[in-house]
Amino acid sequence: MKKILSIALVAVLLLAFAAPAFAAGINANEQKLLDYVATAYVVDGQTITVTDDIAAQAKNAFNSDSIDVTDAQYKEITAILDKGLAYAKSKNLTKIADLQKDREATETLLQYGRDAAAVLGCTIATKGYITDADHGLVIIYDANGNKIAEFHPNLIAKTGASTTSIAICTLAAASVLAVAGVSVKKFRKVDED
Amino acid sequence: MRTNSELNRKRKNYRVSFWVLPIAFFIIGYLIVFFALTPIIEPAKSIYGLAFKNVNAVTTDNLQGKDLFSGKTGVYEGTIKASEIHFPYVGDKWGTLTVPSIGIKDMPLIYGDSMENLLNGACMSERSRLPGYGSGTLVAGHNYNYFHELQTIEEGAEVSVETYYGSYKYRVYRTEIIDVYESTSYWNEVYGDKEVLVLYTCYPNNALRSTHYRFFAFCEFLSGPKIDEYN
Repeated sequence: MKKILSIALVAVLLLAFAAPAFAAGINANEQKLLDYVATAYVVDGQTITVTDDIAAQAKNAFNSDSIDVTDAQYKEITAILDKGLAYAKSKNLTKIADLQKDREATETLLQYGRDAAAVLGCTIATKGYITDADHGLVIIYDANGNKIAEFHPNLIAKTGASTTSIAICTLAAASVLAVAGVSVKKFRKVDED
Repeated sequence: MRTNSELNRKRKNYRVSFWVLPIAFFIIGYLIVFFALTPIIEPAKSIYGLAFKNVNAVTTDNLQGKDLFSGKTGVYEGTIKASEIHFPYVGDKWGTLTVPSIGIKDMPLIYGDSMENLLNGACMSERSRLPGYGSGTLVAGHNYNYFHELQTIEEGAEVSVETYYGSYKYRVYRTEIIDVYESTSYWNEVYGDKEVLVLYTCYPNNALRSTHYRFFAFCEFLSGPKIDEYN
């Protein structure tokens, strides 16, 4: 629950962090935004806040050279976040499964992110469906097309050779079946003779 | 002489034989092949990668971003202002990893741990912090190439990370195999207020299926410059 709303809210945030000036590090407005998203919200009786991993990603995005949030941008971004939060509350979005079922809500929340991005000349792209643990990806580009952040649902990556192993097993199984098939056919022919 | 009904029946048979059935068989056949092959498309791609794209090789030829690392900086301590260094973009190579005890030497470290990036080296999660930023650095690597030997690492092993802004030393203080679908016991270390390096890979090596288990090596910070990200 926490995570998905955090994702949606921070996606909006992250999108908003691509200003054209060189600005590594976190400035006062960026810190205010971090504080803003770290504040606890209550939706449908449940307390929601940004999880540590999302907060870390937001800090990294703020550290990007191309992000330097001004006071005016801060106000605009928080106005968008307020709307996003109000929407989440109106839809009683309380867990990740809510977004898995409700594509309209997912797209609406992403649109808040796109709106914020557009203010700063940034763009957001998605691959797969945002909640798809294997293929879902949200990518944020700055005005110069640099990839500031990529968000995929799982914190822990898949680091095995599962597909390779499966492929080898599949080929082995297919070979065995083929040999078995040829052998059976041969034996039948011998029997018939 | 053929009657009209015979001709109609022939036409109908013609339509069924030459149009309806072929189209129906084509659609059904296509669907069968599609559903039968879908589960092996990824493995087939994997075989292609192994055979023709050399995905097992330790190379950054397919780096998604820039190579920020140009060798040792000679900066081993002190404080660096964040405004003095360029922060990496996703896909950039930001340093190298060396673990002498398990034969890892100058392994590329990439920012972001997408599937594409994981083909180019050990990858830092964007949802963790770079060395020097005062928190956990979470680094993943495939168990069939970059981190194949990670599971043999022992407590006390020395780990070096060379970044484009400084040199860092760590020491392994704990290893653990964790079912990451059931446990988040790594969480407090990654997101605590201590500087740590957490290396992980799928466990066991050469599993014949997708695994929930990861081998983690937790490394304590020994030395390296601190980053002041508010200046």
